[in-house]
Parts: sequence; C-alpha cells; structure tokens
Amino acid sequence: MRRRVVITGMGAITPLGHSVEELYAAQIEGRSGIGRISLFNAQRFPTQIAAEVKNFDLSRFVKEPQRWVDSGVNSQFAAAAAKQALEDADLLDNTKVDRTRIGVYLGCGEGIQDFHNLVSLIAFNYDADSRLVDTAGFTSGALRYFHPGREAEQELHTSAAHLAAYFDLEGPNFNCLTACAASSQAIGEATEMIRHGDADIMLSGGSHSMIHPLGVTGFNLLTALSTSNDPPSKASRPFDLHRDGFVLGEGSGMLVLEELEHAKKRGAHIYAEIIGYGSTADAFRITDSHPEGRGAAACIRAALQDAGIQPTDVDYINAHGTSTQVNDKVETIAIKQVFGDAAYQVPVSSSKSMLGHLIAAAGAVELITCVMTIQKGVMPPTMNYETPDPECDLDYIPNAAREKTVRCALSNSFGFGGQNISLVVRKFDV
Amino acid sequence: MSSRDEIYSKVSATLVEALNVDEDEIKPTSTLQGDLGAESIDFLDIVFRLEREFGIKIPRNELFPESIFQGDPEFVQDGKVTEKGIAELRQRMPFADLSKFEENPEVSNISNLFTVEMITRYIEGKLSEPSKN
Amino acid sequence: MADSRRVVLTGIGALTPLGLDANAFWDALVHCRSGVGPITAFDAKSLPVRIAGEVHGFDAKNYIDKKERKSLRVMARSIQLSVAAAQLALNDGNVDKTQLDPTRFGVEFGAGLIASELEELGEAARVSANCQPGSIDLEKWGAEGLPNITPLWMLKYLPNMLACHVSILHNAQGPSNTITESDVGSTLAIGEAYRILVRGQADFFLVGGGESRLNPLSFSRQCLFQPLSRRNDEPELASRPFDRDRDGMVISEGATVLVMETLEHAQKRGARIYAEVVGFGSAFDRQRSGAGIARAIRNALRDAGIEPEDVDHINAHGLSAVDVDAWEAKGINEVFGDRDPPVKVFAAKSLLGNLGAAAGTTELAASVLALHHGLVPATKNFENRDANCPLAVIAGDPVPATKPYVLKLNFTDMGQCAAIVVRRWE
Repeated sequence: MRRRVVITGMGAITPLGHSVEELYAAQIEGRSGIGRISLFNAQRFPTQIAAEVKNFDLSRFVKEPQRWVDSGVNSQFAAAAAKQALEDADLLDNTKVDRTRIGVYLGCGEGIQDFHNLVSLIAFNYDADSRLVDTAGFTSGALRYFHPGREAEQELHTSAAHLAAYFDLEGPNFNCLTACAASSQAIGEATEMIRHGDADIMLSGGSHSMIHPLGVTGFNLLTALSTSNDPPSKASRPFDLHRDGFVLGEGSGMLVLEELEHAKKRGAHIYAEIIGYGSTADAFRITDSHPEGRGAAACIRAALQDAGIQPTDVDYINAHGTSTQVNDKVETIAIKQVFGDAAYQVPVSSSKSMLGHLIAAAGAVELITCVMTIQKGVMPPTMNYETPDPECDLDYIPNAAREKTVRCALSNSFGFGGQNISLVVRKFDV
Repeated sequence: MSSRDEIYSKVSATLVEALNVDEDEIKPTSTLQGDLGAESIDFLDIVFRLEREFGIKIPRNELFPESIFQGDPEFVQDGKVTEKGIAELRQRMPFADLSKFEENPEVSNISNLFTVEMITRYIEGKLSEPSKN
Repeated sequence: MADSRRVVLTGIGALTPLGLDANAFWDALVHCRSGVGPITAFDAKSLPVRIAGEVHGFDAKNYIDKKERKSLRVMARSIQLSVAAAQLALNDGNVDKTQLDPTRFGVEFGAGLIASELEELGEAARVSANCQPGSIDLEKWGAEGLPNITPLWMLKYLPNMLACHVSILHNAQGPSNTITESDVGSTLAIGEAYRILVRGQADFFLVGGGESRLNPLSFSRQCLFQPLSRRNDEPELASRPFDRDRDGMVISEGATVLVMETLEHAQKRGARIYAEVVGFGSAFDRQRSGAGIARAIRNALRDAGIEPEDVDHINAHGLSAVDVDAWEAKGINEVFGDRDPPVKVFAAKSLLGNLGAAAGTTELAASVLALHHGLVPATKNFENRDANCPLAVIAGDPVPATKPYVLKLNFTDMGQCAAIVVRRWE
C-alpha cells in the first residue's frame, strides 16, 4: 500500500487577513478583499483595483526579518505563512524530527522588478527614430542604479532556499512556476515525494504578487483583468453573466504535508488527507482553453482516479473560477463532462470572488479553504453572482455561505499555457 | 488619404506579419480564424499592429467585439442570434457584411464576419473620420 | 509491478555553445573545444564581464513547421532555443509523433527568469519618463505607455512557456511542469519526470532546460550578483572548474532536451537506447558544508541500488567559482573520499560555461554520450590542482569509461542540490 499523506499545518497571508482563521472567516462572511490599488499609482491604468495584503509586517512573524530585507513581498509573504504552518504543525525548532527528512516544494512567483530604474534606463537610452536601445548605455546605467541584493532576490529559487535555510528544512527543495497552477502543482508533486519516500514531511504552497506596474501592464494588455473599477468589491464575479476578467490578488498559502504514520507517531494534529492529484496539459493554445475543456476534464478525472473515488463522493468543488469569460465557461463544461448529471448536485464556489487571483499562490490558498470547509462544515460562497449565465448553470453557492457536511473536496487550478492541476482532500478518518 | 487598395495591401502586410501566412494566402474574403488560423491573442496583436501601421486608435471591442452578447438571452437563443441580436451587430459593426451571416445566424458563425475585407472597410472608415486636431 | 517500470534515455537535442546538435556537441567535448568567447549578442563594452558562451547561427525558423511559426513572436530566445531543442530530441530519438498516446506524453523543463527585450518597452518608456533617473510617471505610463506596448508582451517572458510551447507543438497532454530552481532546475526536472514515469502517470517525456541570459538586462543583472570570471582577454581559459587559478564562472546560453520513456515504450517502438535513468536524490545544503550535497548523492545512489565503487565518473556541477568548487569537493569527498583509486570527475562547464536552467540536461547529455561512446571527455583548463578541491579531475585527454554508472550533480548558490544516476545501456 502506498504511503498516505496528511495535512498537519497551515498558514496564510492573504488580502482577507494574516491567518488561516481570518482567511476562512472572511470568506464565510462573503467579505471582499478587493479595493483600489494603493501599492502604486494606477489611476490611469485600465485596471485600478486589486486585492492587496494590508498592513503586513514580517517582523511580527519571524525573529530575523533582515534576512528578507532585499526580498520581494513574494518571499516575505512566504516566510510568514511558512512560519505559521510550521508552528501549527509543531515543527519550529523541533529537533526530535529528522530535519533532513523535511523538504520544501513551492510554487512561488518571481520577485518584483525594479520598475522605475528599469524603465527610466530604457527611456534614457532609447532612440525614437530607430526604435533601438543603446545597450552599452543601458548596461552601464544598470550597473549603477540596480541594487545587487534586490536583483539577486528576484531569482526564482530564492524563496524556497530562504525557507529551507531559516527553518532548517534540509530535505528535497523545489520551486515550480506553472502560472496560475503553480502552488497546486507544488502540493501535488510534494505529495508524490512523500508517497515515494523522498521525504517524510514537505512544506508546500506558494506565494506571489503581481500587483506592480509591470504585472498589471502585462495582464491589462492581454485584456485578462476586470476593468470594472467601481465598486471594486463587485469586480470579481465568477460565473456571473457580466464577468469581465479577473482581479489580481497577492499573498501566500503554506501547508505542512506529512506521511500519515509519521504524523501519528509524533501526535501531530491532522487536518485532512490529500488523496488525489491530477496533472495534465491542454496542449492547445497559449491562452485559449480547449473549448471542450479537454485538459481540465482529463485533469479532474485523473485526480479522482488517483483518489480512488467516484464523482458522487465529491461534496464540494473549489473552482479555479477566475471570472474571465472563457475560464468559467470551460471549467463548467469540464466539471459537467466528468460529473455528468451529478454536476448539478455538487456545490461549486470560487474564492476568487473575494480574494482575487493570487496567481502562483492561488491554488494553495484555495486548498486551505477546502480543508477549512471540511473542518467547519460551511462552504464559502461565490460572491457577486447576480445574473445567471446560461452557459454556466451549476450550483455556485451564490452570495451566501452554506452549511454542509463536507467529507471530500476538489480544488481546481488552471494556468496560461494550458496547465491543469486538480487536488482532492478528504476528512481524515483514523 | 489612402485609397482602398492601398489600405488593403497594408492590411494584408500586417496579417502576413502577425499570422505568419504568405501574402498569396490572403484574399478579401479570408476569415481570420477559419482561413488564416488566428486565435484570440492574435486579434489583440492585429489591432496593435494596425494602430501602428495606420496611426489610428482602435478602442477595445470596436473592430473585433469579443463575446458580443455574453450569452444574453435577448440576443441569443438556442445558439442562434436573434433579430434583436442581428440589429445590435449591425449597429456595432457597420463595416461588416452581415448578409451571409443572416442566412445562418449561429453564434459560432460570428467569427466568420472577421474577414480581411471587413478590416479594410473599418480602417477606411476610421481614416475618413475628421481629424480631432 | 509498479517498481518494474524502468526509464531510459532515447534522444538528445542540444543547442549549445558547442554547436547546433548533439553530434557537434560531442565532437567539441572529445576534442576539448571551448564554447566560450567574446559577447557578440549585444554591445557589452560597459560591462566588467564581456565573455560568454553563445549559441551561434541559431535561427528558430529552421526548427518549426511553417504553420506554427507565428508562435515565434511570443517566444523569447530562451523559449525558441527550447522549442528547437525539443524538435532535435524527437529527431534524434527517431520518434514518430503519430504513434504516441498524447495523454501519456509529458513535458518538463527547468527554466529561469526571462528578461524583457528592452525595445518592446522603448516607446512606453519614452512617453512616461520623468527628467530624473529612477522615476517614471505612472499616470503617463498607464495612459500613454500601455498602448505602445505589444499586447502579447507578457506571454513572451513567462517561464512556463518553454514547456507549454513544447506541449502545444507536439500535442503532449500528459503532465507538464516547470522547475524554476536556478542552476539545478533541469536536473530536478529530470528527477521528477523519472519519478512520474516510474509511478505510471506517463510513458513518454520530453525533459529539458533552456535559458539565455545573453541580453543586456539579464547579463547586467548577473554581473551584479554572480561570481563571474573577469578573464575577458582569454575567454577560452576563463571557465576552469577546480583549477587553482579559477576566478569565477562564465555565463552561457542554450537548451538541451532529452527523450525519456519507459523501457517498455522504448522497446515497443524499437528505439535506440542511450542509457537508463536509475536514481535520483535531492537535498538542501544548509551550511554550505557539503553535507547536503553528500546527502543528495547518497539518496541517488541508494535509489539506484549501487555503491560509490560502481560509479565510473562524476559529472560535477563544477561552477568554476572560488568557494563553490571547494564546497562541492567537500560534498563529493564525504561520499567518495575513501575510494581508491579515487573517482574520476568531469566538469562540463569548463567547455560550456554555465547554462543555468539548462545546465542539468546539457551536462547530463555529455555523460550519457560518454557512456554511449565509452569515452569520458577531459575537463578543460584544469592545469593546477587546488588543495581546496582534492578531486581526481579528468584533464588532458579523454579517458575510457570503464564502469557502468555515472553520477550527475548540480546545486545552486543557496544550497539546493540534486543528483541523478544513469547506467550504460547494454
């Protein structure tokens, strides 16, 4: 029999609060974390709203915040959420556990580029007639104006390395970046590492912020973001007929995954069991989902098969539900393909209606939401669901949380490029 | 002001660049999606290139209105565009030739309206607008 | 039954500073020809480092079907190199795509940050710059800058697009992942794909790494925080892993993609088999003491079920940085230190420079070919032994490969380590 993997710790830094409890409570109340962008002057951008993490202070979470002084908020959020998760699992400074058997697998995004220096260096070295940049001028300016430490911290392996070094996690260390599916994929692969015996415990999750000028620029240019700036709380409306794009969020979700016997032996609190993981590619187009939801349906099926359960065993689906026209339609199609008639019986909701889209970190935060739903027996709603879309006709738990005994929950994450990940968590029964 | 032929050949050249098709693959009636293989990001790219080529501004959703009706039952019923929907299309896309579409107004056929000729007519209209300066 | 699934390497696609395919790559390795030279990709005259390993003569159009070529527009050079290397790997593996089950076909890449091409932001920058450096008028940027940037800008630079384009071009609908872990990225990708194949989630994989930092933004950033060699006047002598006079690493670009598949799948399609992947281990070296490197090695050897004595040679990380090479030597010797005669060590970066996210697949390809040809290339520029690096580095001429196993090692500057064991196919 394969090794079973359970969740023994969780941590979250999100637009809805700086803990798992706050994250979940706010969703149950249907509170929105979305507001006008305060991190930079976005007044003349098509999109002026986002879900920001408010009043974050790393020194409230770690004793040596100076380690992250040059880091982007992605690494800082990760450090705080990781601390919560490890503390929750009683793994902080716990020398009774073999630290070489604890690994890290994150789906963390990149650090934030030095926008002002980068763009002004381009401007100063740009010749409008030839439309060329003088690279000698640019590079000499770059050496002068870029901050070496902050540039180093933008690299994609730094978040995972800092966590391993600071919290003494000496096992396998990975970071994957598969767009909006990243942290779900990290959790899935971390689960597989424990199953295989590469580690007994994995700290896994994700962290990301793209609420910066180039991030909003990139998504605005692709017309992926909602431009319904007023009121901000109404902008993210997954599955609603008048949805017009997603809203950027930021933050981090971290989970401690542990081999079941290992957790039992040390008397760890077990939140839930990870029983299924599916991973597929659309292999279709860069941003268009396959119209029949081919990759997404195959992914959900793979996760259910891995879990050894039937669609009817699923009590709740936390959808990817981005609030873009295409995603919500195709995700609905994919769910119907896998669940058949049972699709209309299983409640589906999108945390993004309140949290916005945490990009690489979205999946981890949404899986935590699933675990809390199993714990508390209340499913979070899809907010702003006002006008039904004939093409999205499932039970989306509109606008108000709902009580239900949830034993088994499915979490979907789909990303640009056709990346699909599904995870299944179940209430842990001895 | 450019003649229609000039506009057409510039539009063709733009499509050659954006879609990596050969010039001789492009005919006035070629549909962007069906004949020339455009996907959704290509429409963004084409709009950007046309703006540069002709020095005009093309507001979002004007040339290629995406998801025009968003499943609104007033405009779409059973996968077909209603009378009201066709009227809406005519108003939003006066530069499009709707005659063929009206024969079989399936929603999925809307993309067939996006032809090289349609772009040419749209640009022609844009360039003849009185200058704001 | 699950344990009986074995994984073999059956194709190599390499676009490196040593040439535009695996044959050129091997030829340069056995003849000890360096791929490092003066930077030609951009004007590097203001930089303290003006040498690198470049891929010369590469034109992505030669590798992509005409109907797919419009995708090149949304591919930065790192992506173009990767997509082309994937095609070369399929060619080399003599793979008939129509015979593959798309749902059992996975893709996994190691990738890094991809820098924006400066010109793409040029107009937007111009219209929104204030008079002083380091200050952009964000209102102008938002209102007048944005419409001047190509709308597809961001797609060209997403790290997962290496794998995604490959999956789209070849209809690979199985698992797809992108490991973004600096110099160890594609090594971890090999390890993870190996696990996925063994556990049965796929039968066939393209595993690669691709990275080009040969552009003004990436390269100047690297100059700020990487230990780079300043041997600008002697580019070919600059990368000298484990040598006493090493003074830093050399940045290179390239992409290498490997065809990995289950033995059963390979045999069914009658594939030529280069080698078998038999072990993977990874760890974190928290103190930079070598302990983590040693653990990754031990995990990989245990996974392979072999002893240090069985290893023909170690294909080292061999960065050519002063402290990093000494750190690596400690790790290797913690496992192999007692072996007599000592284990041979080959450092591919002496010829290639550091391909970053592409280092793992590229360097492993060297040893896979070494096993295949029975000949291990020599480490270039290893002239004087360094007391801090007590290793039996292969220098001078290639030596015969006498034992069946190779250990590939890579790690990052922050301590993420991975080791792969491959076995000669016979």
